[in-house]
Amino acid sequence: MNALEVKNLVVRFGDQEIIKNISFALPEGTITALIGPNGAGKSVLLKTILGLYPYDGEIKIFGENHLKMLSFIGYVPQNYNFDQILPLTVSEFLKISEPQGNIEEVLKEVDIENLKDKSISRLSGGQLQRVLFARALLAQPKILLLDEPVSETDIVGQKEFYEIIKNLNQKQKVTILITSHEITIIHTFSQRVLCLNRSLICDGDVSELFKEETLKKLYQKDIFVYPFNRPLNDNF
Amino acid sequence: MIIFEYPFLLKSLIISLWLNAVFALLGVFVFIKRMSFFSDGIAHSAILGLSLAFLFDLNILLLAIITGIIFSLLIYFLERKTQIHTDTLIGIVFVSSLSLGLILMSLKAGYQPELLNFLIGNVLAISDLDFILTIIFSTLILIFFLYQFHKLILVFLDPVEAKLRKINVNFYEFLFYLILGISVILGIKLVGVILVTAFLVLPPAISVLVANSFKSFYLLSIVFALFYVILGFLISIFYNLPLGPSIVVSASSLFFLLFLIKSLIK
Repeated sequence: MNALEVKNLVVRFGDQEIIKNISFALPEGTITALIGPNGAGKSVLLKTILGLYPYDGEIKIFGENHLKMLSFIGYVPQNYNFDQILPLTVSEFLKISEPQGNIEEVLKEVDIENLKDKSISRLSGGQLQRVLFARALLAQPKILLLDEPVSETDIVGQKEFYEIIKNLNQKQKVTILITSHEITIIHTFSQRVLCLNRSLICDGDVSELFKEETLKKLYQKDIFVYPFNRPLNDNF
Repeated sequence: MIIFEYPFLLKSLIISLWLNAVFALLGVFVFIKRMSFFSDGIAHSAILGLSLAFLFDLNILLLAIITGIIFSLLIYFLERKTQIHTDTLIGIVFVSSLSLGLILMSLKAGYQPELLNFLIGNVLAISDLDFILTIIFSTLILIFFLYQFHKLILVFLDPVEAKLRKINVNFYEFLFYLILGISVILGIKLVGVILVTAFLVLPPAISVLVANSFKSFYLLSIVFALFYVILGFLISIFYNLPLGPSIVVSASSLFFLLFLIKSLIK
């Protein structure tokens, strides 16, 4: 069964078409990477799935209209503007989002038990992203939408994060759609890829990522992803 | 103690403590949503209601509440229908209704002591009916806030996450604007149009200086509010000073004192 199905989706901001008639489906239990240049509409797509923008077309979650199924989704935003002066601990932040959730368990799952009583305003960018990820897991979602969830995390943290989502995917069959610019990491952890630049450039196996013609079409430039589609000693 | 010897003083103390505790809790949400100017705008907008009440000999509190509600909702809808920033919209509504009120007031000649009461407040002269009405309204508001506490915090902190949790964000924001509008008008009776904002703004501002968690933030807001009301009462009685301003000056002194201590400790 498809966890998420998008048909003929068009999103407009005024006269401008931000997403131009795209269709795709995410089979249940898959990890899909959503890649594309800045301004390609990746975040807009995720937010449209969350019901934040009006659109033409159809979005279904497990066969039902997405607006009825929002509680099935866990979401990690790209940016989180937090009022730095507000005194709020990590556990309070999680409890406010999901009073019935098992906070201890989710903190352990994401490996941030040590941050439990720390003030949110004192977290680093990477730690905050990890907390937002913990929050997304609190309601035990069936689908995770992750918008550049490790953009402020160091390499070790990134690897740990991808291990966690892979584990989640394997044990709990959570369907994951993740936007990222880390093409090599995506190659390791995701099974499918969607290439978006306003319209859908590719939709399929992750090996699509390393086809020169796909990347050229997507980024409008020659892109070489060493060592996948070009050996290091190759000349430009 | 002198307060217990005079029933009107005791009644004023009770209503001040109760209303300030409710305002302190409301103020936490105002602080998160950065809406301090909103309450100031509503308070001044109420002058239009007061002018209409004077002009047509209608109930002042009722008219003030109606205008407060109308302007709260007007700001709420303009906020959503235009791309203009909220503070600008509040400014537009605030000065328009204030000016209209002053024009209407100029149509009726003579000194209007009731109007002065609304501008600077007079909690000592609160009638039994107003006392009961204020207690009932503020208790209902308190119950609502305690019951919906987590939902409201989430709506204000992160509306996107609130939507994912199936919380009707628009409904809760609408309700908050409505409740805030009514509360501000009730507060006017106590300290007047000019000082009512202090009740909302000062408790969380004092509390945030010392709180280290959200729980301590809202609990200390209430504790500080109760403390400075008692302090203001004592200063007012012993030095024969106006009550409303004495309470507000006590609160702002507490803020600056804690700020100073915190700065010295750092």
